[in-house]
Amino acid sequence: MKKILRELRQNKTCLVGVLILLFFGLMAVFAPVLAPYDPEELLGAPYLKPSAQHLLGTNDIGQDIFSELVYGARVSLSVGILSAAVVTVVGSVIGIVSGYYKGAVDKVFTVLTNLAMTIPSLPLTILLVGFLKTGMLGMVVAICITSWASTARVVRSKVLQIRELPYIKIEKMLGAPDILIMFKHILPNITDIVLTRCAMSVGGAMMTESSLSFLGLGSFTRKSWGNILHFAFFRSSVLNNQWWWYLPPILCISLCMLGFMLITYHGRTRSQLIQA
Amino acid sequence: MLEIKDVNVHFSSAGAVGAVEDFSLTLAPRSKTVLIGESGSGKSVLLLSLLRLLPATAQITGSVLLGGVDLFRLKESELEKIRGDRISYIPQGGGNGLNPLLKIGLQVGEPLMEHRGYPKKKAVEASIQLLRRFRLGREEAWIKAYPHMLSGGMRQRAMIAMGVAAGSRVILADEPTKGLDSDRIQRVVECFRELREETLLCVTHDIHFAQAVGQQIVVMYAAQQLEIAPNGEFFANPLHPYSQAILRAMPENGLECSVGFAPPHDVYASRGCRFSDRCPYKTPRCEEAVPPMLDRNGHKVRCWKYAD
Amino acid sequence: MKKRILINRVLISIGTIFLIITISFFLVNSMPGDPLVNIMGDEEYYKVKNSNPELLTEIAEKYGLNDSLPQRYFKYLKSILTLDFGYSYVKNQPVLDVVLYRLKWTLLLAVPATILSALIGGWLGIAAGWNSGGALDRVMTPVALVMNTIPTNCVAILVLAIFAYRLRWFPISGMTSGGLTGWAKARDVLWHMALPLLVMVLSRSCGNFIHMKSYVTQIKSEEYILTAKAKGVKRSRILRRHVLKNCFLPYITVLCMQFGHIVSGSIMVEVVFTWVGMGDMMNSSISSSDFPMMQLCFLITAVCMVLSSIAADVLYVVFDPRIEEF
Repeated sequence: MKKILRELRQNKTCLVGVLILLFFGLMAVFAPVLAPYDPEELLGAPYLKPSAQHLLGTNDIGQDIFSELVYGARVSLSVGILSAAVVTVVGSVIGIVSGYYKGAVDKVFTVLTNLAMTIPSLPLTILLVGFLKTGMLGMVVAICITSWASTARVVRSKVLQIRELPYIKIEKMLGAPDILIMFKHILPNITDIVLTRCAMSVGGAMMTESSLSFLGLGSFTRKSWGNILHFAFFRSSVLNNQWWWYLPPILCISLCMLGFMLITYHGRTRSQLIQA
Repeated sequence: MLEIKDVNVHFSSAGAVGAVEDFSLTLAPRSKTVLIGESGSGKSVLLLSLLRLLPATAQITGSVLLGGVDLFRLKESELEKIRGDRISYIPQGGGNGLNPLLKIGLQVGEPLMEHRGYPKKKAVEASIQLLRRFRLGREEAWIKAYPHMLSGGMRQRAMIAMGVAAGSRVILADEPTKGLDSDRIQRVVECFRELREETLLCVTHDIHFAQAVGQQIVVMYAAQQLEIAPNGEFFANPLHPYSQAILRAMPENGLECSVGFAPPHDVYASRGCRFSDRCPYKTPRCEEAVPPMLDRNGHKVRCWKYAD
Repeated sequence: MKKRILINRVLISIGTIFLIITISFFLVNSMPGDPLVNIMGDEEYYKVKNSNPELLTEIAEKYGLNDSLPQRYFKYLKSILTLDFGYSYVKNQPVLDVVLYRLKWTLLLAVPATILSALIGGWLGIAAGWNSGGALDRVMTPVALVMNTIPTNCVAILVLAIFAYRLRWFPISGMTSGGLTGWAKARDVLWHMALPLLVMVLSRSCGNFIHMKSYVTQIKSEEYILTAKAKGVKRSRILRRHVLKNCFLPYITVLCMQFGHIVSGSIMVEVVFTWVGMGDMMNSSISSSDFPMMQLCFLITAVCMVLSSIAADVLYVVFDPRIEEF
């Protein structure tokens, strides 16, 4: 913990990123306290301008936009974190297994990985979401199916290097079980890559979620920022100059993405080198 | 020909520790000097500092006189005209010293394009002659090859050809035998013997190579010169305990490893002689101050043992 | 040797396309809901179902919905070979005609965007990487990094709000004003294109910039650049002879991948600016459950990706002399 704090103090870009994400994290956790209204409650007057009662006005069916945004953090972040967790676990396991065993197992996984990287991910995610039609959960599943491959690829290439190191070879000669070698000896050596990839996956998943929700493919009961933007845009808020409706979700999404970019900036340059 | 005076190199990222300290050396015309030292002793940094090719974080002081002109006082544009023309640098053959995407002929002939105004075609043709001088064999074919197609030894010889391409009279070579087997090393030795008109300063940790090529031997340890001596004198009668130790450790002298091991950062921290931790003749004086360079009839040594 | 690598690549790509076709077929065909509902519309469907059930079977026959799944799969494979992709449920015309018309508009937007951003991003990237720490580097790098993180639809909406709504320099949406011919029409289309093009060029240039800059910075620290400096080669000539060729090699891969995303990458921009291209249609075909349309859209985007990755490999094999060794 102390180590992380010291690292943060030295690494200003990372610190800013963490602060941004902390802000949104707290917003999501304390949504019921922060939001003045229930985001799904119809309060009567639609299209209200910002006022003391409604900080950001109301939307087309008279819901409080500020409350929507606060609760939207919950939806957006949970989709991102949930998908990233699954993506990271699946991608890392596949990467470790195929890098460690090489040979036939690796061939199969490599073909799968390459295939998954070739299939255009946004259209496939759109197809999958259309297919699954189960709201948030469907979105998470679709994101996982389309985005495990890059994590797997990065992890695999790192594992390929590590498995050639003497201490792993010695373990093997001593007859340690493969599972033990993979998860006790190799995994700790790639935690920094796995964690960086994980943070990137959260950002990536949130980006996909907001895009899909913007297209109107998300859940409609519990609105994410992307959903709010969808309604704002397709209910002509730009033409009606209702900036308080379309601008806040844009700011939230963009700032959040910025936060993830900042915390992964150093790790990203490193993992790019590994890919090359 | 080349006079190096009190060259100091510091990297601002490494704090107060110098990479090269008070390096002075005179290279007579057509002389061959070999600089021996362990990895990290500062010998490669020295070579690059002479041409001012170190990254911007390096602070260099001192002077390097080439025909009376101080290279350290020149503007970058003036220096560009001298590099490769009057003084050239030969990188390690094992590394990435040749551009992997350009043909050998172009890279070997490039100094001619730069300094003699040759058009590309003529420079490539001239490179055939250059490669022939160092007996690459099948030169017409190799000039059309890419670096990865050559063996390490051939790359090294091609780079020597590249170094002398524009007629440069001072050659600085960085570990030319690194990663080569004894057969290939012999060929590289022949190439350096071929350089009759040129003045050579070569850095290596291959002592056999030093013995075969060098007329003057310089020993470097932890950023400082410890000994400067003519070849015969050095191998017959090394003065510095460190030189004695490395010569005794050679196979034909019995592979004797008498000196202990000291981690380098401790070495730099001491006020005294850098070698004192490992020296079998250590006296209290050795830990107090760095010994001066003593001149004993042209055989220079930095050791308190010879101070009186 | 090179030939074998290429043949190998092409075979793998054909396999990939086949797999993609299969996946998309089964995905689309196991989607929930009776496709007839989508073809006929809710009201009509239930009206006919109650009054005239035979008519339903007839319509299903027309769209080939009565066969079993494997039968339909083989029919689908055969129809792909004959470039017959069936009828759109919604538009009631051959899907291929609709898609080709839309594809034309997408390419009109995406091809110039990709080329322009390749040039702009690449050029700025080289300049910033070569003079790293200079003014351009210090300004462009943070700008590009931030631009690269903001989702395209957000940028598009902001651009729309500022330039089309506030300043009224450009039209809010659409592709033409209609009723024009010849030069007047071309100028009109260009005027409509300006904003979507701007957004695409802006976001892609930033991505390209980051890539190119990192390549140049990396190459600058290579030993052969030191060698070139030691030979006394002038800075400008080092850039031209030793850096450019080396950094174009990885850049080509990036550009090829972008051409692969040419259709799928413009979805957001097309939706925001109501540019009626492939991306816009892919989106609407999902919401209207127009299965044949979805399949073809997906197929085309996938084929684009596969072709461009072949192109990347071919270019690499052609330009990198080291490939022969692998």
